[in-house]
Amino acid sequence: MTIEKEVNGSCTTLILKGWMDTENAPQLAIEVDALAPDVKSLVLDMAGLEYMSSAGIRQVIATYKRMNGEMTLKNVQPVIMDVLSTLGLDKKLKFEQ
Amino acid sequence: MKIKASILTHIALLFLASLLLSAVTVFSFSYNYMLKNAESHSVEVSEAATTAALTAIGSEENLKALYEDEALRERVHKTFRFICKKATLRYLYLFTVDEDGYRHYIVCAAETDEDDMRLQTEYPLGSVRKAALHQAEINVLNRDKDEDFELIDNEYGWVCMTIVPVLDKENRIIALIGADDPIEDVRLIATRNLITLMLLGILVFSLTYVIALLLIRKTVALPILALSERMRVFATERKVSIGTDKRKTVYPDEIAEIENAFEKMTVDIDHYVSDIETLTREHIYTQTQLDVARKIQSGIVPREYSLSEERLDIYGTMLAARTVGGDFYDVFRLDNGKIGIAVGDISDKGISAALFMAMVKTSIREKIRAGCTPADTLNLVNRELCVSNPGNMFATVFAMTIDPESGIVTFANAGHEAPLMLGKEPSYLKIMNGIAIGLFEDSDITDERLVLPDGEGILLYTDGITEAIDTDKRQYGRERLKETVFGKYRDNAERYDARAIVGDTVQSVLEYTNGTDQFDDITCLAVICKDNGNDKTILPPDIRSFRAVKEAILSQLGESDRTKSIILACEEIFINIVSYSGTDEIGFSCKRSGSTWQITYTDNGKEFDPVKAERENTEFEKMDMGGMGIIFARKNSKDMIYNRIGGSNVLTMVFDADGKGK
Repeated sequence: MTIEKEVNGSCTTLILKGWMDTENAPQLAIEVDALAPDVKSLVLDMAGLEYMSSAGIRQVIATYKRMNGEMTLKNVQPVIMDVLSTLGLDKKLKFEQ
Repeated sequence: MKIKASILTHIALLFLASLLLSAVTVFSFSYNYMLKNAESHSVEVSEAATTAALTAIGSEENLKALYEDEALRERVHKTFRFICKKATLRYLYLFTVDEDGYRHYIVCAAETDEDDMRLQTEYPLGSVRKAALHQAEINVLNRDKDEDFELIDNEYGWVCMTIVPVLDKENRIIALIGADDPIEDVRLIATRNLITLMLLGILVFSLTYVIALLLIRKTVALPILALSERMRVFATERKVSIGTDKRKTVYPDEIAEIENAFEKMTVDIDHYVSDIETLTREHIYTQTQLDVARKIQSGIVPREYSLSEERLDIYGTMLAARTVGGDFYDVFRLDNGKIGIAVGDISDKGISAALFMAMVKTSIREKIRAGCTPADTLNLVNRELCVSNPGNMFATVFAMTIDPESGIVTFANAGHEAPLMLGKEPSYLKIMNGIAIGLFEDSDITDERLVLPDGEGILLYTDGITEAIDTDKRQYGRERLKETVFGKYRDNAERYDARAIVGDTVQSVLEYTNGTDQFDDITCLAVICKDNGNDKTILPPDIRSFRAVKEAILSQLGESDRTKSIILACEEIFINIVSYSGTDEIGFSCKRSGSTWQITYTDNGKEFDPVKAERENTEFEKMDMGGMGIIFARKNSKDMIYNRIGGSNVLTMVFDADGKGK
């Protein structure tokens, strides 16, 4: 999994690509820790994310709590959406295309 | 009366012998005694006679004068004859002995006229006889004895000869007087007396004998004869006669005791023989029943059965005990390609158990063939049995179906022994005990499942194996069974062969019980999934190890959304094992089975059944804590089968090869 960062004012976008599994999911936390304190909202662009396991979901939820809900998932692929909706997250999180 | 040559003959012979012996003894004693008497009598007579003769001779001068004076000689001769007659001597004679030992007769006289006439002719004065001197004459001549006598057997018969010397004034022997006393009469008398005595003795003895014989006949022989007749009747016809023709005795004697003892003995023996006859009849009846039962059993359950196909290798055997136990096993194909298997044991023995077994076995096969699961089958059969089970018999049964493609076994247990899993190291399967069928209507037996990996199998058996006892009454036991199977597995290059495993197990049990009667049926059946070369990968318990799993799945299934959902399920389980089980290693295998993929994890960590695990965390607020993995595993897999086998968790996830999961 690779993570690229795009900063646009107080909104930062993290572009996730590849497979997010137990082994590499903690990378997301490292990136989030590294964000500037003035970042008010976060967008996770998942257009290139092909796979996410429960470890990835843990990190997404942890990030969501850390941003106090100011987190949007963008371009979520159906295979990932399927995983999220299994836990009912499709109703809890904010999505945009 | 017929008396066998036994007691009486012996007694008679003994009597005769004793009679003879006493007669001989009496005869010899009394003969000797009488002879001695006669001898001393004759000596006394002779002494008197010779003394009288000496007196008749008078003096030495007279003796000399005898040669000259014929008148004197005649007078002496007359005196001698007189003495002879008085003393009943045969001869009385006066003679001298010269230096040559020749006798020179002077006067000879005999008792009878005839004898005397002869003597006067044959022994006149001066006649010489050259016959050798008798010992008595020599003794007297040599002055060894003053006078002597001797028994002589001469031409005139037996005589007692007494010799007395005639002495002169200087005490020299100048002549001898001889007196012959005949003793034939004495002997005759003695013999006659004895014969009389003996005849009297024989008469008395014979009388006594006859009386004794009659007495013995009455008190001994006849009772014994009667007793022996009763014994003969008892021995040949086994007819007991008690109290009949009982003998009257004043005092109970030994024979009476024997009779009483015999009577008691016959009654006892009669009872014993009756008992033995009853027992034998019962024994024969039981044997016949068992024979019938054994025939029924062998007709329904073959001694051996072998089924080998592309993916499965099955071999079963049943060795019936002498007493039929009612073991059974059954292997049959189902319409859906699966194979149904059942192994069971009826509680009872004998023909009723064999019939019960036939009913149970047939019902199980019928219901599984009709599409019932093993548990449904056992519950249904149980209900049927409970409706009518007058003998209160029950059966323990292990029933299963196996899909040869996937190796998935669905099984149910009704109180039977846990099967032995034939894995890398044999171990007993942890199963629900269930309850024997035929006892309670609500058996509530449930299905369980397991997956037989390639090259591995399952061994079913009855207690005829584990509870077989040796001569010291020790049981064969489960551990020994495990060791036997393991030993055979290693001998066979770590491969399982159904026939070899079953054959060796039964052989081992038979050797163990050698010297004892096989008490119970021995049933053993092995089901082996053939090894198709699907290797199991062993991975260290590390998160990074999952890469290998992922690569393996991707390379076999190709990359697709479907594959990703499979990998997700596999990752969740894998991470769970790494994080919580504490295992040393994780075994992984992936194989295509018909329209499904089967992925199996094996770990030796703590027991955990993800199939039955409590529903996990689905609270949003706690989702960052984890604990959601198994949800994905359950959702994405078509099926999950978990078993705890020999200290290992074995989990198989089944995925549809095409299309989604559940």
